Amino acid sequence: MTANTITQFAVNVGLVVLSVSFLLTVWRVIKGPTLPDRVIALDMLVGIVMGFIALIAIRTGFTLYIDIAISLGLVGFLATVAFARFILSRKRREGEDGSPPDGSSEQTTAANGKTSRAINPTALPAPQAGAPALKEAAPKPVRSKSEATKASAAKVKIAKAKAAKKVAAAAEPGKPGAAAAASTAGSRPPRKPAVKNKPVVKKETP
Amino acid sequence: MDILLALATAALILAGSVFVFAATLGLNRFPDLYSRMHAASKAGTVGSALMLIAVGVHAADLAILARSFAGFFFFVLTAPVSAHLLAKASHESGYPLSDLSVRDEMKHPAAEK
Repeated sequence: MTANTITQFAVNVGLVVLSVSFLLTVWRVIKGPTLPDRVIALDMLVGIVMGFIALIAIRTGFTLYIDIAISLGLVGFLATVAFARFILSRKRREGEDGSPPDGSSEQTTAANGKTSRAINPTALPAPQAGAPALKEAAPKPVRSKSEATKASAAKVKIAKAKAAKKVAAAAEPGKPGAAAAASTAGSRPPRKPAVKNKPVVKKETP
Repeated sequence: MDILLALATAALILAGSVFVFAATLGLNRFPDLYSRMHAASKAGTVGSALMLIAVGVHAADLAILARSFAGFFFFVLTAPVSAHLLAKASHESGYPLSDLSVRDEMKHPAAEK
């Protein structure tokens, strides 16, 4: 049992273990429910690859591989920092972690994404303007389910009408920001008010 | 002497691979983004750093040992920084803790919800 066989054996065992770890980490990259999970797994992958490089350096005897490992670590560190900044600026999206996605990709604004997960399934169609009305309806003692849902549906209708009026009023001056807000507010399933109002907006803005 | 060096190298390699494997298990088994971060940034870092030191010990050359130690310290110093940055960014942008966690001391009232 010479020194060479000992190191070669250890290197082989280490390579096998590192390969298994690499595959498991790739599995986390694929499966990871959110973006930060994937970023962590990528950071971990950089570490594992550094281990691979070190083992290859021992096996082949080229110690120059250490410099490659150091520069790879630098790149991995910078990539993780950049991803952290990106996550900070991007905010969380609804439906990213396996929960059912509701709505389009326009939800990056914080308030929109948070309030869209409402208490009542009948409340979902209501745009932002309908939320206060529903909150009023919620604390009342529930007499019977059908009544309550009818009442809330009626309120939703009123709120929708109000929202449509608001949208129309906001679209009249032809402000691009107001028009965009109106279109995002009305883009939920019952999009009739938004659809009705969109041609008006398009006529006004040019 | 030669055999001693080889034994030290083998021990470092095996310890490093065990650490990396433990980190990967933690990465796959922990319930939460923030707890996964512990596994990846502690055990994974130590595993790779031990292998870098193993290269230096195996070469039995002072220059190479110094370089491997430089890599070791660089990696050990930067991994916590990046992990902390990532955890802070994801906490601030609203990624929730798992249901098993009992307390969130960083939740400030100015945040949404």
